[in-house]
Amino acid sequence: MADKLEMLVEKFGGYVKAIIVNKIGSVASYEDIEDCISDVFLEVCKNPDNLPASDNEMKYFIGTIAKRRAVDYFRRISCKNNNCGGTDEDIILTPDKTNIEEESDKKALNTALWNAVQSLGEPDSAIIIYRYFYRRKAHEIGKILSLSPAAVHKRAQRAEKKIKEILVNQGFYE
Amino acid sequence: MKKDLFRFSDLDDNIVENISEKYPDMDKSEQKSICKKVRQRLNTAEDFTPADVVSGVETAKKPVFRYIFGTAAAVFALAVIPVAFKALKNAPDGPENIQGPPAVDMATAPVEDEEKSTAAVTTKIGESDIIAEVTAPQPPTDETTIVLPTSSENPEKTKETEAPPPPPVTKEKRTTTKALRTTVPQAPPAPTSAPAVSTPVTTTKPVTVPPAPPAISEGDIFDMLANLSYSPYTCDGIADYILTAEDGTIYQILVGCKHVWRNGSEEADITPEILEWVKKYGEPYKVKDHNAKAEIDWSFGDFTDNVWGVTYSGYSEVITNTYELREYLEKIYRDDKVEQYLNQYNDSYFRSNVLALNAVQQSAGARSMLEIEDFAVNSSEIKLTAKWKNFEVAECVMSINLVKLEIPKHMYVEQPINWNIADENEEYYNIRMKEIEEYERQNICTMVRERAILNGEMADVNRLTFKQAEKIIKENGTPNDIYDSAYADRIIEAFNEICDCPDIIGGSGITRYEYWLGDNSGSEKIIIFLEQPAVWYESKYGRERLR
Repeated sequence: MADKLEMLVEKFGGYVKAIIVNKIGSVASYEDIEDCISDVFLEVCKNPDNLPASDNEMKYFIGTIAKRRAVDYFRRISCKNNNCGGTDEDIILTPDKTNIEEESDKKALNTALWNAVQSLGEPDSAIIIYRYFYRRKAHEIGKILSLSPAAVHKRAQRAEKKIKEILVNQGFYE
Repeated sequence: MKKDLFRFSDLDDNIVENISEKYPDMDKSEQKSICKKVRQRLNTAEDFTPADVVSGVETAKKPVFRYIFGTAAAVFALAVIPVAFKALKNAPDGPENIQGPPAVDMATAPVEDEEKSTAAVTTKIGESDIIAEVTAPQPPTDETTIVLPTSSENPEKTKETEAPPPPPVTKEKRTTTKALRTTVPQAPPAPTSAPAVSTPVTTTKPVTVPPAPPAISEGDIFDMLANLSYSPYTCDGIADYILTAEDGTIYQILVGCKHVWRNGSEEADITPEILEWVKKYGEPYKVKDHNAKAEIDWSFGDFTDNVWGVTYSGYSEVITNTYELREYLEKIYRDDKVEQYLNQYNDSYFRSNVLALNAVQQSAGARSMLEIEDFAVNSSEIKLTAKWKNFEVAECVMSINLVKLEIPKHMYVEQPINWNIADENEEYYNIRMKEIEEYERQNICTMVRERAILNGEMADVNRLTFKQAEKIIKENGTPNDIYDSAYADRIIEAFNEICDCPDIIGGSGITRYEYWLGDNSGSEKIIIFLEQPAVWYESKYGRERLR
């Protein structure tokens, strides 16, 4: 199982992390994110004989677990931050007040933002993703992309400006 | 606005998938850490499965009993403690009379918090969090039990908190005992008659305490460094350590003279605290990386189709990683050459260097060599001077000179790079013009044709041939008299129709027009003297008048 676990983490670790960061990155600490990732793999490893055979199915399976775990963590962390006390079971979920129109706008903005980031080209796209999605610091990004922290700062600033222009041109902001 | 703009959360699944594929953010160490965590928790789960029976621990009870047992425990404690205290006080001295606190049977003892008590024995093993709790029941020793994560990494660190062995824990299926509890006695030692909680113990794992973080954080050090009093100069020497702040400021520490250089241009004295921290956590400064290096690769062939457009007026970039390098090279070279460079300048190279590149065209027809004359890197500017040398006539091939300036990363703070590379044409012009001027000075003349070609006024294409010259002269007959200047004008006009202009106009006391035949050497020529007027053919064998 040990080898299998390592293989799974190597293959799907990045995917699981991206899902979890996407859900709880804005509220969770680095440790929370790591705990959540390990929870996901723990859950996967509990039933090693019933794992999907193909990589695609496995990705879907592990992605689903990751999303659910991330939602659990989000509730737990939000509750902790709001000092609401009690256990997970005690949390009362209020009715969803999501405005469908807002949700649709948000989706369109997300897509436009992603396209804008993609249009920057490398390494600017990578800098923006590591900075704003993974919430990495400049020196960490510098290490990943072999850039100096100052260069990361500069490039990030220019990239932000470009993205802003693109989104303004597309009518997302005035 | 900015906050809203870059709200990268709750993205669509396909975007998240794309991000995870293109920009994975899990390195080997993180993978290891996750695996370690999962494995620890898996092992815990294997040790204590729901099928295991743990004896000596109360099964869960409804909350109502909790209160009853709690109350009973309190009454019991109130009744027993004064009696025990009185008995101890009245007892005669002597070791045989010193008794431990009364043994309490866990199996029947009242439990204040059933879940906590059970968890303390069963499920807390290996968890990363340190949980401190007061276990029920509270024996008269008033001991505090701390449940710590199990590990064998730092056994020595457990000594301080170790206490008498914990009560044995029984497991019917497997018998692994871990250093679950560390008892910190607050009063007398633990009871000699241990509560009958569980059974056998086979192995013991030590308790770990996480390593203490440094007293001064990295952020504090950078604050301290930033607040030093800097002077606008630096002493001689080579730094021992180098620190790069998040804002890109580079601090070089010189341990010997206890100085710090900020961005290589300012200097301050450092405090002992900084020095101590740097010695422990600073990144050593490698002398071999101290200097920038510059060189030129000359190559021809293997270029992309639009290389001449890209490098028309030089193509310079500062390359900080392999992505940028590939992007740059692919605009100039074909695949093999690109891969060759990428092998030479890989990720490891860019971890400590940046590479400033400038692709400079070299025109066909002249075999010139671009040579680096000088380069210098300082905090405000990087300057490289290169000049063209050794002009010779060569075969007709265009080539590229790739000027490479390797700058250690700590020396590069995005200062502008001044590529002082002379324009090949300009350089050629200057050299050729000097040659022309020298010839003109020696021969008292003007090299009309050479100057016109050099200034781009005409192409070096058509030359007069001997046959053409002979024919023109025959057609124009002979001059009427010595003052027939119109004769010379007619000949000159006819010659100029073929080759645009004479090679030379000059002479001392007499005006001489020279039309060179064949090539640019001037070894064979037609000479017209305006004042005579007469036309001569001159070669290495002598001069002959043409009529």
